[in-house]
Amino acid sequence: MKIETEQRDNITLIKPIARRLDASVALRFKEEVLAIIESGAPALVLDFSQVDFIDSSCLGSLVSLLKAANGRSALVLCSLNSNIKNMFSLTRMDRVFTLCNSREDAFATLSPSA
Amino acid sequence: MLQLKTQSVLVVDDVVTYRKLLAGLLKKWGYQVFEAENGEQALALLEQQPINLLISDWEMPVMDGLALCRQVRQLFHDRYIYLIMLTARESVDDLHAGFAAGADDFLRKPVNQIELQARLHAGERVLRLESTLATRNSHLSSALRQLELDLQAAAAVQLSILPPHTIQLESYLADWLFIPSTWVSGDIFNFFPLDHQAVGFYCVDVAGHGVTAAMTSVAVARQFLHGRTVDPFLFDDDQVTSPGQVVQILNARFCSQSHDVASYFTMVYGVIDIASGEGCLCQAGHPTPFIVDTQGNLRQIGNGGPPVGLFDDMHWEESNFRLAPGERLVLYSDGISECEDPQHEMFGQQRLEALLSELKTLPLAKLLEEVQRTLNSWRDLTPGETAPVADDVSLLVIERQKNVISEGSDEDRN
Repeated sequence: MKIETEQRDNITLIKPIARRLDASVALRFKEEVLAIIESGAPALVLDFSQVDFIDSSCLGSLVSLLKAANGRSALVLCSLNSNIKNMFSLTRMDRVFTLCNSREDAFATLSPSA
Repeated sequence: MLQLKTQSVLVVDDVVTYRKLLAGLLKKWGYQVFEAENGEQALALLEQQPINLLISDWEMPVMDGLALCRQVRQLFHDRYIYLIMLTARESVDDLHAGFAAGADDFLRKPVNQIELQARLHAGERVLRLESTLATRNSHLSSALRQLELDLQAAAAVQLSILPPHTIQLESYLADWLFIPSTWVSGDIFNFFPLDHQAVGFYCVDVAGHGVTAAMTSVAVARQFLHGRTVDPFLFDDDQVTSPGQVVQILNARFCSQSHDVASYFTMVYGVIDIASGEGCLCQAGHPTPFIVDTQGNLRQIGNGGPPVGLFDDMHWEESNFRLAPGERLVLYSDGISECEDPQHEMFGQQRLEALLSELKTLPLAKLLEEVQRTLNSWRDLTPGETAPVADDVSLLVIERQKNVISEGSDEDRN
């Protein structure tokens, strides 16, 4: 798994490049994003456009990140495929996370004027 | 480190004077020296003595230096023997042939003393590294072996916690399929009597797999065991606690206060009234259970719900259902639906539903064999071949039997 990051104003875009985000990469994914949160990034967009599948370990990592970001950084998820969206809806995590269809939507959600 | 304090060297040369000259030098430098006239004698000595350094002439009768190198590399795998070839040859082709035969280094004849000492020191350094690696390897192998034995034992313990294969409770029959992804699994399930009126069932899938997930799954199973005896939270006064309430209690017990989600699980817990077949279940992040009727029609029971152990302020819904005689309630973990074929296509819920619908008349045990066979062929395994699944697989099927008439009224017979 490779993680691409990109800075747009205050927003850090994080794009994991991996077909599967599963137990084999969940810990590393969590630690790398956690480091960005802890460095004081005010807003993060996690772009899942390159990801086909998220397993339960990785969902656990995302919840840890959301809890870590709580009150410090805004966290938005975008570009989830229909399988991942279904998983978020089955587990009600669509009510816990902010989900956006595209990275543009995510930027709009996070920009102060929105 | 090498076992010998004094390094042993074997000198192989058919010319006696030259061999004696070298042997004398080496003895003076403190080596323990063995001598051989040709390759064959040398091999015999290597078999008997723990020699690690060998200096051999190239041209010899009976077995020459090249053949000796090849033989040494072929025969001695338990220890490394450092091979120095003595040669008057200087062509690149000859050196190449020597390295290909397994030589480590070359010394030109006549031998220069300082050069010989330097080559011997280099050889000893390589041998020390080799010996350190060998020791480390053997430690790793025995540690790995120990871990495998522990895991084997853990797997046996976990299997012993699972219910027996065929569980008959009144007019209800349950059977299951369980394939752990490693030795141990994060999936666990059971079908058990609650009181004279009701039976209960659960399927749990702890996030991740392996030992950590397995330990949590055992802790959850223990909750259900104690929930009927020492800490009867599965009962509320004389009533059976509603499934949503049970999930809420478990969430409070398993939710960590730290930001870091240590361990969480998806589950379904449900109860069935024995006499009427009326049931209620709570789905907590687990795949949606479904009922197969006697015609092969399907109905899903549940609309989703959050997993257990992620957030302390979640709410769970309950779904009511009625299991008519002949109908089957199917509960499964995502290890089945997410099971990938070689092209990474997932087996999916629809294929599982279609399979169980098609096999509606097959007895439970046969049905589960067929599901396993179908999953194996989905994974492109040939019959009899085994390979670890990516995620733990568990499937629990509860059938309300047609022909068994339980005590009390039953107006449901079709």
